[in-house]
Amino acid sequence: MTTIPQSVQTRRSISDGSRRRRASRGDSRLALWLIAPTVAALVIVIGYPVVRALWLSTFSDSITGNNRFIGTDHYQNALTGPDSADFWAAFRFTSLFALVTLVLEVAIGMAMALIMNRAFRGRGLLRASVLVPWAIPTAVTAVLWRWMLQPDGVVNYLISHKILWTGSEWPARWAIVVADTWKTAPFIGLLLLAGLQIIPNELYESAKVDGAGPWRRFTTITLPLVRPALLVAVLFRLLDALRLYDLPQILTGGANNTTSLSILVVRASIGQTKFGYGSALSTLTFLYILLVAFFFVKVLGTNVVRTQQRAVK
Amino acid sequence: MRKSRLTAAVSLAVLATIASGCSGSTPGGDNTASDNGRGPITFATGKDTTGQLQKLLDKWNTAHPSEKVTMVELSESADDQRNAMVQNFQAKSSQFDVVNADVVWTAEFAARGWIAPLDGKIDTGALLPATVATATYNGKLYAAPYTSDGGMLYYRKDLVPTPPKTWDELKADCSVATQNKMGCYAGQFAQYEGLTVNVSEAINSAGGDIVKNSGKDVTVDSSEAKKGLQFLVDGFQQGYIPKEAITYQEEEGRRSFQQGHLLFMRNWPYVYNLAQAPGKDSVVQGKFAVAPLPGPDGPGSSALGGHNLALSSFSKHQQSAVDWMKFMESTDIQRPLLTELSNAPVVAALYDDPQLQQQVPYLATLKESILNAKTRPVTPVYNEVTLAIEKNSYEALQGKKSVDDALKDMAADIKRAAANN
Repeated sequence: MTTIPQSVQTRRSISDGSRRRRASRGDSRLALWLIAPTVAALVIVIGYPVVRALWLSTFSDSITGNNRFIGTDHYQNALTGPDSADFWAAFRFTSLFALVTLVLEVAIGMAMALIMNRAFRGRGLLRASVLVPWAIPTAVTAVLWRWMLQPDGVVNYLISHKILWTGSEWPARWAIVVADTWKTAPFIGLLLLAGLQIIPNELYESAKVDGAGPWRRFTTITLPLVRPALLVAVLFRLLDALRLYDLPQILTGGANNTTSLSILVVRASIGQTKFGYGSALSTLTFLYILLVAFFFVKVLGTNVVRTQQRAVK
Repeated sequence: MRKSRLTAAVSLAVLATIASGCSGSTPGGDNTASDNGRGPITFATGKDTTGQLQKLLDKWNTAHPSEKVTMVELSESADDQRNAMVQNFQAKSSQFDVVNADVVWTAEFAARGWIAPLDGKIDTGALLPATVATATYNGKLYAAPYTSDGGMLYYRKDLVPTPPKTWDELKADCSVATQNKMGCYAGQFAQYEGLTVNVSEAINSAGGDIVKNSGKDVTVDSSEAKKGLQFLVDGFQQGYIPKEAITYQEEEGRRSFQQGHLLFMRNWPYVYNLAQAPGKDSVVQGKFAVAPLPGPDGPGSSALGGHNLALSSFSKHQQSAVDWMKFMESTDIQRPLLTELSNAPVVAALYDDPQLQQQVPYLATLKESILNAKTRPVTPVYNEVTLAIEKNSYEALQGKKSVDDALKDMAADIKRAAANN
């Protein structure tokens, strides 16, 4: 991206050779000092807990407090042992939830962004009101939906069917997906709106002159140009969705196969006071999310560059 | 250069501040006290929503100025209360001298050595025996029973003049519910702690036990237990329990009963005053009464709620703490505990007090309920055991598992939980 031609670089480094080198050494030392507090803070608040969890996860959970080193027993238990059914059920539910909400939220968020991007009266009001679900804390959202989804609640009244939303597996899962989509689609919408606003109007006008219809304009102008913003939104959402905790905890308590990985971690380490096993579960969850993020950033990184280059051309 | 050094100094100072904030020290009890274990104490308890508890503590404080008790109010949520206590115990902190522990936490705290045995220190002769059982682990008394609670059958006396004493009588009365287009019976059947309570009650009423011998023996895979769980499963299959009850916790059932949608309901005493209160929320004022829970052949067996006062092993003023716990079990405290804080007392004699019986109409029924009550499983791994009970019985209620399989899996899960520790 910042490709200064090779010849220019070489010429400059020859012309102010040693003075520049000395200055840059001073600069870099200053830079080191400047970032030192940040690095130290990160080590304390992120590095230490991660290492500590790894360490704890290799010890047994004896009720008498005499915990001994057991190596990878907790990991084996979670992945292939007696508790593996719970782990993989939570893994499947968490992944499914992330995938389904992502698709729904991006589709609905995109529609919201396209509408908000139009010039019309009351646009400011609409943009502000769309943000309301996002502004409500997730715990409150969960309680709100729990009320609405009661057997004699407003949702059943509106659809005039008596569905027991928290009484069996798929309704309970859909309830969580709907509540999450309601809350997060506006957030995606706003991120996408920011992306839409940098697309110059002339592009649409010239496409229109060339005879491109609305769908053609959307797929050949809007989508490629909004892609960087879209990918960032998708990454944010995906990582967030994989950490899912409060919504199912309050809405269903993890019943009916809606136990997420985070619920499993909290249940083991806090509810059952099994710090070793809880740490192993949290490490596995962390690795899973890290893997997804890593893969995504790799794909995302290449795509962002290519899109921008194409846009410049 | 000087500038960069200044920056470094500033950043170091900032870091030092952060670090010192992190290591936040826990103040212990004062070490200046003499060795006889006397001095001021702290009492950690869930949030007192009535605001009356401090007045009871003041009675002690005026009489014992050098051994004052300070109340530390924790969260309203039981899970958060337990977390706060566990964290303190793990840090071996003497910050909480006495904790107000839910009856189901007592065994775990005792097994982990966090609370001190009270054998011979507390006289339990005047207390309801079932409440003493909740405070007992491995044959030793580990806590002082403080409040109790028991389930009761709420019934519509305008429709059913005499309450059912057995499950068969209850089923027979359901024709009345059908005639009036209402549900017949409901308890707490969503998958949460309330389901463990309801399933334990059904199993205990049928003569079964989930675990025995402080959790060492798992006895849930028995014909009695099968009979108990079958009663609830049949309810959903035959329709004497309405379908929506699979989503009910205490509040959902209470609302349904207050709206006149239920003929019978199993619930705690707190419902009584709310359902009796004038207003649009209840259409059953004066139309309902309470009775002991029914069982297969006679009165059933309730699960016990309530709290115990437990003495922290790390307390530096244990002598004062024990004296104060005795004081909290006296009728002087237990009486206002019932009248001002709406808690069921643990002192047996109070239930027969004519004046109190008049003031609290459900008192006689509650006594019978608590007399026949059994504790929920006493085991140091209670949180895992209750999850095993909830999960497997819930699947049986949903019809996903047969009663036999549910109990077999339940037994296996409980055994595994005990073996893991």
